[in-house]
Amino acid sequence: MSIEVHHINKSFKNFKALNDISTTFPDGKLTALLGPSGSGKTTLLRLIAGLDVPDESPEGKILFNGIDVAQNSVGKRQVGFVFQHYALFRHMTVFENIAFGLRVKKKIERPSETEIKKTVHELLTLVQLESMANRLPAQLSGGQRQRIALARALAIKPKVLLLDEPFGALDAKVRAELRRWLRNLHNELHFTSIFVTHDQEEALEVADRVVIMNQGKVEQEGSPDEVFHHPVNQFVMHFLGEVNVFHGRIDDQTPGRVVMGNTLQDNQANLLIRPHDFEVSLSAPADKQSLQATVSHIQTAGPLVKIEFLDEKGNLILVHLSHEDFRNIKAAPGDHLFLSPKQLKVYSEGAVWNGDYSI
Amino acid sequence: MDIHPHKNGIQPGIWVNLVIALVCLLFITAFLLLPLFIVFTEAFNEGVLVWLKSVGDEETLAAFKLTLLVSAIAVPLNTVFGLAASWALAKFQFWGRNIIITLIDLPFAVSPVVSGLIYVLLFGLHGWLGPWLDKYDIQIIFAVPGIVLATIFVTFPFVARELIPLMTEQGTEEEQVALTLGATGWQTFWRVTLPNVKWGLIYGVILSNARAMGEFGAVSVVSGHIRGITNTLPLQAEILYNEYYFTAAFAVASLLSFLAVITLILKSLAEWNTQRILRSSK
Repeated sequence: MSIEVHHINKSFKNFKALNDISTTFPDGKLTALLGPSGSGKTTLLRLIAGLDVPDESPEGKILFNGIDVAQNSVGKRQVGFVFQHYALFRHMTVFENIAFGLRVKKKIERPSETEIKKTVHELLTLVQLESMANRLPAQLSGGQRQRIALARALAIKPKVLLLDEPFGALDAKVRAELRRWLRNLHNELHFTSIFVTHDQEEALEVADRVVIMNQGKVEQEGSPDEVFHHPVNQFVMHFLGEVNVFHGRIDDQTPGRVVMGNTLQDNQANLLIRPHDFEVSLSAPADKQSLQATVSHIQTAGPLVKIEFLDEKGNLILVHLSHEDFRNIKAAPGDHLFLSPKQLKVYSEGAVWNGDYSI
Repeated sequence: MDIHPHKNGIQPGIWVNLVIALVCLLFITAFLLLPLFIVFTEAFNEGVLVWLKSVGDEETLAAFKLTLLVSAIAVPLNTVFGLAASWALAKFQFWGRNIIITLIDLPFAVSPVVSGLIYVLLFGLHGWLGPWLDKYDIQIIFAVPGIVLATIFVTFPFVARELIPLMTEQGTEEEQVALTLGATGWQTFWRVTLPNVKWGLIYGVILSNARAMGEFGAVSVVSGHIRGITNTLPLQAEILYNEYYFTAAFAVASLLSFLAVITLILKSLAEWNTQRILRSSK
């Protein structure tokens, strides 16, 4: 089932949480709502679920498969909602938690006790916790609780699965494991899912589509590859990973050219370079532009060597090198080396600026 | 768990521990155990038969029945009110919420005698509603309805006070999940909200009941002390004592103490259970 959101606004007292949001969540895809805290991503998710109501407006619509669901209460929307802190019913066993959605159905729709048992055990198998049926939530680990919460949401055969920071409260290892598991589950079941996260790595790794939000607005949406390699503005580039920012301005003499430094005048522009987009050399390369910087700190533990440089003005520059490249330059703290960008993005007034540059 | 408590830097020395423990025990003995012991020895001073005769006295039995009747009306009403109030106050944010929470405590802050007087001023013959009530021949003051009203007022906060912090801590996420799973408002209340506060509720009801049976001040003002009709157990004990029927007075007192001890045992059980559940939900 596809979900469309048209011109949705939501205010809390004086705070505008969502500002004219329009976006589409395609059928059968796993979409990530990504943004910093306070960007409105959870608010949007709750509006889709029907747990909150958008501001009254004639154009504001939430469509499930093209049908406006504004009048439908939470229960009628048939959404599976998974909370960050699981919200398992603490006084019920795992079995009863999963069975809840079936037991509260109207008498004519309610499955028989044998059917309920069968469904719950199928779901327990799906989340790989068959042996836990009689435990209480307090007796489970965080990762197990989250999987039970997911099984409980799936029990009502939801048309769409909404997950609010589903892995936020778990430690790094369980988190990585669980998101891979969710990805596989999604590939198997193919329902429309939306999950909220502030972790860009998680969004890029798990989702088919990423919607990046900031201050109640959608900044960019697209496949993980698209948003990572073609960020439309400085915010997106910043949010999707570490980046070095250099200030510059658009050259008056040769329009279409940005010159680094000299930030005092008009036509400012920023040059953004990811840490892994640098080439480091011992002497100034003749064929390309470079800047000189001093090594201040080296961290070799990890898949990449992380080097902190300081330029002449004392600004920090982060560079990531492969271990092989690092061995070739044999850098040590205090060394003066030359950095030349392999790739960079120029943004003027926050938006992409296509043109030449010089350092 | 720390298996070497004496190595803990903030543990005081053994003498300090001993002195503190002694002071506590002394206080408990002098102010709690001794009076309880005296009540029962005085009550059974002249043997079990005399005790039975005192307790079986017609007026005392009537007082016992009235006490049970008043509790049986006041406690359920306050339970329903307490549940509704704490649900509304803990699960929703609205204007005036804090004022209501403060108001619920009013019966704790006001002297019980004043609570009784409020009802006399309201329903008494010379009170605001007195003439109107008199016209229709409805008697509230110096009758059972007045005693029930005064008891309700005095025991008003117990259930709500117990549930508001508990429900506030539990939040509303479980209820929200229940709604997304298709449960109606009632189903959510009966299957999620109520079971989650079950033990806290029982604890509040027990406290409320203890106070309802033991209330003296407010009830004394509105009762009129009509023997065999408007005397509750505490009032009966006082009357007997004032008339120098010491053994009978203590027999009644022992009945009340007995109810109190049962209440305490139930309370500890409920408390122990609440703690256990709170711990396990962390």
